Amino acid sequence: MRITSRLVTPFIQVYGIYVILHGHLSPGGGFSGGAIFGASLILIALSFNLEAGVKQISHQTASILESGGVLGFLLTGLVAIIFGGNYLANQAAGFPIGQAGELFSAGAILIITVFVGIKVASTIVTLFYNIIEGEK
Amino acid sequence: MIYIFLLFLVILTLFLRFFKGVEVKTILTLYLLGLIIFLFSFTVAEMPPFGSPDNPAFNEVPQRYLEAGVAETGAVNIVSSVIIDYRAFDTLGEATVLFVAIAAVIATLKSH
Amino acid sequence: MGFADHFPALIVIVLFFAAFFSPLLFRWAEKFSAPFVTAALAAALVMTVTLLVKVQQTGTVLYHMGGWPPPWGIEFKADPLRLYILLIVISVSLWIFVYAVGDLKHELKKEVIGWYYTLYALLVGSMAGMALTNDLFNLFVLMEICAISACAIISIKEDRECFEASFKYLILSAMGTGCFLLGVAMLYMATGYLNYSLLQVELAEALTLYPRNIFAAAALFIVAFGIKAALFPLHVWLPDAHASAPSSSSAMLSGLVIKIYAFTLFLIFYQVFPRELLEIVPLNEIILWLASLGTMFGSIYAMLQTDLKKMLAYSSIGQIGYIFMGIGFNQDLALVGSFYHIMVHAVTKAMLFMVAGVIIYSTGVRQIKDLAGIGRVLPITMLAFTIGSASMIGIPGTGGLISKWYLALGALEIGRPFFVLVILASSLLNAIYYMPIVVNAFMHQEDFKFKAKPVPRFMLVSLVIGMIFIVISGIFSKPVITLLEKSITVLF
Repeated sequence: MRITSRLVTPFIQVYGIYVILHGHLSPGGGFSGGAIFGASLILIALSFNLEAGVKQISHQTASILESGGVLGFLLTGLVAIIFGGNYLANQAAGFPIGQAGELFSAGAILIITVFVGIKVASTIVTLFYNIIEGEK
Repeated sequence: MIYIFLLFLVILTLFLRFFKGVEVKTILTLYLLGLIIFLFSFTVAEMPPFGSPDNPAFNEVPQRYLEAGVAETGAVNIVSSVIIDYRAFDTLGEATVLFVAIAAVIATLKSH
Repeated sequence: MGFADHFPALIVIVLFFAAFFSPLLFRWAEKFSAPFVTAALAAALVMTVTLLVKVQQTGTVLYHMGGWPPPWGIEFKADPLRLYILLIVISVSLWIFVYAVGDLKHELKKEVIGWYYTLYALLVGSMAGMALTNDLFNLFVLMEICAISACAIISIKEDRECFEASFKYLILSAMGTGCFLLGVAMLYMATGYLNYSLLQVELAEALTLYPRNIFAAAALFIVAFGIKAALFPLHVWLPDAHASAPSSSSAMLSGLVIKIYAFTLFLIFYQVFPRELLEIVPLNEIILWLASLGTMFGSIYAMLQTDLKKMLAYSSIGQIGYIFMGIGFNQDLALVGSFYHIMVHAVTKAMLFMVAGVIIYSTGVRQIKDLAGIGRVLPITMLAFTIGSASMIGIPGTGGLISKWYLALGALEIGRPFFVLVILASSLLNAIYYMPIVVNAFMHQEDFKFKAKPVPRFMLVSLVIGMIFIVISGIFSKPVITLLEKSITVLF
């Protein structure tokens, strides 16, 4: 069980990051990719113990990522205002759209997807830790 | 037809009440639920056919999403272009829902 | 585009920003946490006032999120009526927050106070968004935020009763949200739009094609908002939730949260559904009767209570009945009355819950019969209670009279004097349960039986602000009434 989860975890994490980064190109995006990434961290905590999981990502990091993810989303919207668009504008605010279909394209969409991914992953992990610790 | 239905209801009530010992309150709840199901099935019967191109939902809104989506947002995935560009504020709201759920869980667990 | 053009979005964003940032701030620099949220609320207040001035000069302001026009993107709309509600929401919540910062130290554990600020800012932000948004699905998202944070500020108290009450509230309000989503789906299926203004145009046509779907959607909306705003038969969650919560949360929930849902129902009735719908199905009759029953039964239940906060909570069910009555009358003067009542009741009920909080903090008393003689120990607090009850009853010189007066005028205008009697009778019932407390507090022969701690100054200051406002709203009601009349007559 431990060996399997140790073997599988890196692949799950890479797949999660892939799903997040290709949110604007293929089905997926921040919500599903973040869930995959968060699940890999839960897998560690389940197959070893809670301490091993906390070692991967501490409470403090998790809660900073938690706030940081949404704050990043919100501030991306504010950047659009500074560049003269409306709130959360993409092309209208001068974000580089790039060539459609490439990895680094679609301007603000990519940035926001990454933030949403961070947010969802840390949400899943924090929720899991808190409920497990609340049981004690 | 409607008399047969009413007769059926009466028999059902008597059966549940006296042979199974179900309470009056439960039977009334069942009737109410049955009535709601009945009304909603009428509503469903009137809905436009599923997936038909003449439906009111197929207006200029999805048309622009599909035709101009790639050029206007740069995302090949139309779903992404809708949720993170056209209706990005809803997604910000959803991310906030996750945040508030976490905040609520932590606040409640820490206080108990 | 200047900076000021983005105010409709920024009002919501600045509150969300405060919410997301305050857990970090509480971790690193605890003492800046409360001033930071206060500053965010004050900034939102300044922006609202600026926007209100601008809207009165130049007319309604529309704001397109991301620059996408309505059928494709989300639209925020700032018209005088919405800004009036927004102004009430933000200023009252700023006032309650100033009180809460001091009071929470005694009611909550220290480590959850930071999270309380977060939840509070999110609650205010989502209410501001609900007042401004012009898009049904966006409304749904904001309702979710509002519902969860409202439950959390009840369950945050270390108390078994709070836990149960907030769980009941969570389940019922989730049912309400579910009903609302189903209704939105039906309207979208029948028209293909989510924007209020476009829906109104399109629904007039769709009413002939899919009448049953639209009726079902209207019924679902009444159930959804009825649960959330505690319309009479759907109020079961309210007394426990509002009575067991920390006093500042009770003030917030009873003062603002139930009103914003009533206002949203009003918006959906007058700005989403076409006028023909009300002519075919007498939806407003249903609301009118439920509201009248609510005013009577809420007061009767309140009379039977022995706990002060429970009594105030049941009284809210009666008072929300007046607000729904205005929607039910479907007439402009009555609507002016119910909108005025939103403001008066928000301030009055918040102040009464603060009084309850002060009494509990100072003496630990919750039972009504133990309050005898308290007026000599806590004079300012009980003076605030007296003025608050006077406004609840509708005694001349307080804001409560003005709103009831306009409601009664509206009832006479459409030729239904029966409802004037309902308003009078329920005011009488209000007097029956508020007045004995006041009389007992000041006139009781024996001395007060419990020990009283001195009350902190900021608590008294917030009570005095409330008192002054209630008296002002009773005497100088002209400017607000003019604003309301101007913006409501447009709807008819």
